Amino acid sequence: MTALSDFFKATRVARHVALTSVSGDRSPATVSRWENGLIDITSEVIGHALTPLGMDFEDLTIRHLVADVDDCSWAAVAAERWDRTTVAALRDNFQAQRDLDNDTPYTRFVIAMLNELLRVHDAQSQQLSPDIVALVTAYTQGVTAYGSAEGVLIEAAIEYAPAAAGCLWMQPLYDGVMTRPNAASLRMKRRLLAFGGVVGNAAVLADDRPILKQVLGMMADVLGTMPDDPIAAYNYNILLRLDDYLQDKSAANRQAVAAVIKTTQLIYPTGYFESFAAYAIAQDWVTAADLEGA
Amino acid sequence: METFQVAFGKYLNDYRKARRIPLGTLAQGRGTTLSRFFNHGNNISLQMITDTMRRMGLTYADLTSNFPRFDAAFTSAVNTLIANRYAADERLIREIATGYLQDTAAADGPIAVLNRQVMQHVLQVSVSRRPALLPDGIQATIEQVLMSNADWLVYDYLLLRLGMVYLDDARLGRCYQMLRERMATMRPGYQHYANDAMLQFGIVCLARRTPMLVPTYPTDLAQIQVSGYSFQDALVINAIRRLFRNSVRLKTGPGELEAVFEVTATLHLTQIEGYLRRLLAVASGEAEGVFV
Repeated sequence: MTALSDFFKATRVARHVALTSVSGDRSPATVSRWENGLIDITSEVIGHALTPLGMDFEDLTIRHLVADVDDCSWAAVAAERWDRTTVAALRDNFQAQRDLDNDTPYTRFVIAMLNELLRVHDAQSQQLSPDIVALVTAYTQGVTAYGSAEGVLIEAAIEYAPAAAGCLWMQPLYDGVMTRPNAASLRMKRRLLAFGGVVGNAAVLADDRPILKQVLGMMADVLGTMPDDPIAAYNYNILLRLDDYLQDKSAANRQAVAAVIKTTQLIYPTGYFESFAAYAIAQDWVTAADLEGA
Repeated sequence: METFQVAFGKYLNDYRKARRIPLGTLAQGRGTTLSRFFNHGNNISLQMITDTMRRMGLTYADLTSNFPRFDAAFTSAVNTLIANRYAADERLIREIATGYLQDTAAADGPIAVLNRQVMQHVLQVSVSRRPALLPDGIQATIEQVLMSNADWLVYDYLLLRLGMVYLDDARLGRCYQMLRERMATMRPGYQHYANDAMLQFGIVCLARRTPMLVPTYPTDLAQIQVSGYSFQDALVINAIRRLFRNSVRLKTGPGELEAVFEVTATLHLTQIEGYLRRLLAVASGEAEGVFV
């Protein structure tokens, strides 16, 4: 018996579903052998066998019945949750895999990125080396969907990359989504807009309005294919108002930036407004007085 | 349409090629088996798929984001309905329900039958645009399914989430209590499904003008904002909390949502604003409406 086969059988029995209902093209005896752990469960289970049970593959991942490795460790790569020990262990793990029998462009990319992020944090340099910028640019070309590790690494790297490079890295994802917008998942669109928020922020800080315009254009296109989403709308509108403000630092444009920041009180958990407000004041985009009454 | 197996094999093969990963590195001496799966969708062991994905840095969680057909048909249909709920696009609702009924016409077993009955009802209500409860027998089956499993799956949260608008008040209240009980012991991965069901409960109560159906509801809703915040729905959760602030008497005047409407105007969230204004109209008895 395995945990997966136990779970499969227990759910089927609890829901009074007959073996014949889940067997599809297979014989009920085959499914019975799965359930009793006598033979390996095959790929067919992903497509059809779970549905008659009211079971989804996500249930298997939530319950760790199929293994997604290192999924917790990757959170340590993000700047706000940086944990040097965990990141170094991840790097060593990939290095060992590569040395053993898994030397691929993917493992080489991961090792190089983890090494670079360790260097950036150790040296507090805030800037990726040109070699790594070139590596990410080459790696991301033609890649229209990221695995979670790739997504975490590239999202972390964008923080330390020139806005123009970040924009270039966004382009294949954007092309992938916009080629067939109805087929692209909402989660994919949200990830793209989150990338846009980081790249756009870098463009604002560098006063690079052509790149900012390019990012805003991509974000507007993607937003136009989605149902209303407050977080995505915030990421877009704050950049739009900052673009106006960079062009004309008038009181009215500053107030418009402040109005968008104030929305974070209702669209984010408690405490986010304070950190957004402090960041915007530190960048001299708004004053504390602009945010009064919020 | 190509079978799931063929589409899945092709997806993984395309993922591999985009990263220029040699087949031989993935296959570990079983190149022919893997190649047949990639190119023809031949059956292979789940363990081999897991190993192959791991070597490419692809997780099952990634598949649910990037490969839409990976979700079960019911999960996919209900998630799409939920994602588009603020748009209240009747044509889209009909398209999703009809698509589901066509895709699962041959599915067998009690769960498959129940799902089709519920989705058929969604379709009928969408066509008539008038609130209507499910037939009593189907309501009882939903309650029975939810009761039969002490440890809910994604399916159970979604069945409740989709079905609650079509349950009578007594069943709705009982199913809500089951939700509360399951949430106390559920795994974190189910949090957003549970949150969404809890939010929908408030919307259904507002639309029926039954704020006291579950007296603990305002506190429960406040709790999910602390324990497991749903970023995408935070604004609407805040709106519903404002309407429930006085749990003895609903507060449904437009002024209650003034701050929320300032946000929708600033961020151009016209669908959410329209949705909340319709909810206010229904909650104050000025209009009729169904909130899927």
